[in-house]
Amino acid sequence: MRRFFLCLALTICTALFAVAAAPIGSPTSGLDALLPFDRTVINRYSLDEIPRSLSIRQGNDVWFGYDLARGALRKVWQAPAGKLGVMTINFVTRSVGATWFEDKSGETWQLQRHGKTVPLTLRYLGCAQREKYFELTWELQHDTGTLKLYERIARTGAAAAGRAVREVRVENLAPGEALLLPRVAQATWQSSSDAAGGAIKGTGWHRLALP
Amino acid sequence: MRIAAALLLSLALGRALAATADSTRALDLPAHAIPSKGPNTWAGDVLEITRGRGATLGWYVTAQQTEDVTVFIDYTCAAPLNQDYQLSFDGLDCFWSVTPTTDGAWSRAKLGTFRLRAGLPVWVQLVPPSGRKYAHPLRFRKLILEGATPGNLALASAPPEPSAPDSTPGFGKKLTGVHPALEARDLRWDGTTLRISGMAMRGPRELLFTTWEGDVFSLDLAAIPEAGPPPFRRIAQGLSEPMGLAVDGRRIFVTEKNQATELIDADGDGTFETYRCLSHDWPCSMDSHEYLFGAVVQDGHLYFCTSVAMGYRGEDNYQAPLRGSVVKVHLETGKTEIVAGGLRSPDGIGLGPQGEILVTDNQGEWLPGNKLVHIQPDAFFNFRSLAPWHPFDRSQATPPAVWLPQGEIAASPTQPLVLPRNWGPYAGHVVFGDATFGGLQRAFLENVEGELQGAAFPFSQGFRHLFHRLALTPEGELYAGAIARGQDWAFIDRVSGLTRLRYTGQAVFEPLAARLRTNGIEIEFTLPLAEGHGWNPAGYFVTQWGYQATQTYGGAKIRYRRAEVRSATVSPDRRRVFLELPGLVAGELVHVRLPPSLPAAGGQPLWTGELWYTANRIPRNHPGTVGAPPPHAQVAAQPFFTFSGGEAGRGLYQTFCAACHSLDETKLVGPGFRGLVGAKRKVRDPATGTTREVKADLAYLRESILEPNALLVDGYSENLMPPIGATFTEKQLDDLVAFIVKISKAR
Repeated sequence: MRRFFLCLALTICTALFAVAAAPIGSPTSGLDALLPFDRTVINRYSLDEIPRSLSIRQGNDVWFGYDLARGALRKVWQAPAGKLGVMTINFVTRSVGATWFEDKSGETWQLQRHGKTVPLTLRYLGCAQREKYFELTWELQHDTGTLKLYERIARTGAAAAGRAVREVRVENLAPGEALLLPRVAQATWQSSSDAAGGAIKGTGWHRLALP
Repeated sequence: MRIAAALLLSLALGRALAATADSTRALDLPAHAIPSKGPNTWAGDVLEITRGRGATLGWYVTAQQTEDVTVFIDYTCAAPLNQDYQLSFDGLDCFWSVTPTTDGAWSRAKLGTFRLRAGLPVWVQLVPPSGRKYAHPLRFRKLILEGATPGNLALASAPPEPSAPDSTPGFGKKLTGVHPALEARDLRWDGTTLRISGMAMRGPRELLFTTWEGDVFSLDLAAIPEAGPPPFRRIAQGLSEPMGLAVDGRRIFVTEKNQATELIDADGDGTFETYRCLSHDWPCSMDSHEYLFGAVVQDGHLYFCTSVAMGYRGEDNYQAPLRGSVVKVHLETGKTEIVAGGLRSPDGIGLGPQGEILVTDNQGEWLPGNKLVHIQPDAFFNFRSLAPWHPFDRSQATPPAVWLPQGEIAASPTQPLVLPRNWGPYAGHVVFGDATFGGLQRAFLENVEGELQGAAFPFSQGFRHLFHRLALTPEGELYAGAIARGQDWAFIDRVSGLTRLRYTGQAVFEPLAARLRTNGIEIEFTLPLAEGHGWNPAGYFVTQWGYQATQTYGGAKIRYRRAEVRSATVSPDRRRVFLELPGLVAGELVHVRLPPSLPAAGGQPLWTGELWYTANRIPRNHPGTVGAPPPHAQVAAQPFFTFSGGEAGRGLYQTFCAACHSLDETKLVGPGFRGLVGAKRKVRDPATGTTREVKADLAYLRESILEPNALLVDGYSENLMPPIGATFTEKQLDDLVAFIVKISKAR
């Protein structure tokens, strides 16, 4: 409760004297579907008090929220009917709707090498808007090299396999190595390929579905 | 026996002498001699400090000879504090983590040892934590300075503050018009508010700019019609509060809220489908004021600044480490390095005349004035926070190349830019805008024994926009993008946008440059002075002062005093005047006022008549030439300056209030002053949480200046207004209140 009031006070302060957002409907508010990075489908403002984060819409109403510094999916939620899943106030966003998945653990990916876990240092490399999907990229440094992790979110709605679907791929895994999903995701996301137990191997795309 | 008695007597005498010597080696700085207690309370001669905000616990001290002194404090404090006290000693700092005392017993703690220079009064200030109020007071009785030389130390009074000469625009008062050699066109796009946050040229005729809202626009400069809106074209969107834009060849880099980004159009369709994260390798929080300010590319690296937090600092004043840095990122690898630290709100970065990196920084905590700084590897510019804070943090901070006194020449300085060759006499000079003060200011820099330093000059006002970002075309056209913050969208819309400036080449008479000499300062003019003029030292009103950075907001002028102008010597070509200043002090500012009556040879009047020189280093063997006035030197028929006394309040308003309070009804950060006096105000008492209505009378004005948090105007938060009154004398307070009363009634 105390934190809530602190946040509320800071929000009010911000609105008062620090930075004020463009009025809703401002010609420069960025709602231009012809250019990539329309905020109604991908919003790069900080989400839910995570400074380096973004949110991506899948289909009409499913939203994915990423913690970019952790390289992890933080939240999946469904927007209220007929509304956006993110509310923007003063250049930051809050997720709005029904939560389907949430990972507040703070944990990240892990490299498994011959049964042992190797720590990773993550670096976010950016995002791209393609015709059919959004793609996020990270660099994962470990003791002997660097992996590259790709994650993509199809822009159209998920297939029957699940309510929300994402795909991941990793480059530069050595024989005997596997990349483990963050622990909370391991227990929640179902793989359609060989990512049994949340272990990503090989170089192909792995489809992960939220049942 | 006699020998023994003599020995005992000798020992006793020796002890007595030693005791006398001990007491004369020390100097008490008593609590009751401070200028301002702020919101704290007296218990006899003891100050019970619960809050530093608004208090000035300082003393001037002199020494006959330079020596090391150790500073102690007499105090009691029942419980630990979660922030340190700062001791600012002639510009050097130490921090004191308060050790609680028991049962109210007085304790003496050692704060630090400093070198006290002989001669000039030195300012010693104890700075309590300012960000919060403590339930239990620190009871403060005195500081004790302990040296080695008997009778060496003494308390001193502040130098008499100079009365300000009467002012007009450009002469002690902010300019009001556009510089006569500039032609300005407002490139308005009616109905659209463009808060321009980054700007760069892509090729010779395409101007790119970002907006705070996250768009990137392109403007074909050759397609700007003679009348009507320019053909702005949005080429990217969805950025997160970009505050800088740089172009390297065809590559575009943007500094967003939390990352440096490259916009990539891999498929060549004209839109940017990839936002490559070049780097985000520094800590950040959710604070709204943590920006990445500016962007320049040099030697295959992107340079920009990180600003510190203003809200999310926590009760202990914690900042995310490495904020307030200049960051350097390799364009290919993203390898990230911290180049310099200790900045606060560095909303402008650019290249200097010799390719140096220059940054502007905004007055506030740890910045008693605004700054134009020269970035050098490992430089530290004084903004501090809690450990782990910054690897470059050190007691001896790097001084700015040019101080920009708050309200006099700057309030929120922005991007610096070097003027090109085709800008006549101003070529090679640095101009910068200001997101509060407005206009364009100019700086002339010189290298004095390896130190880049120089002077700031008023250059132009009279623009509708508050300039934030600048870009030059190859032909020398200057495009200036503007921004505004606050709540008043009509104001924001009015002052944001794009302006085109052209230099017309018209000759304008004004001080062009200032160069420091061993024994004074040489002022260069754009045109020759009229024959026989300029020789009278009384025609130059010169003041001097220093600054000391504290953990509270802003800061007063230290040793603010009138400087002696011993002589004035005009050069044979009459374009330069050397002012002989015997009281130059390294590390201080020199402010020169010229009278509007000083004429050029062609009869042109001066456009502006003042400059602020930052004398970090005084050249050792480079004296100015002192000459006798010619027989035909003009004798002034009228006094050069008049002192009607009405200017002090306006000056204080400009320095301390203008950034947030307009003289009309415009809401900036705080309410405007017009119609204030006598009006009813709904106020909230933060101590009780109750609201009531009060009349804005003189007592209310005084209290609001001295203790801004005592009664908060409905709709405004606590701590929004800095405790500016803390540094005022009674006379200054009276002057400011009188000015507010006068302006409140103005139509």
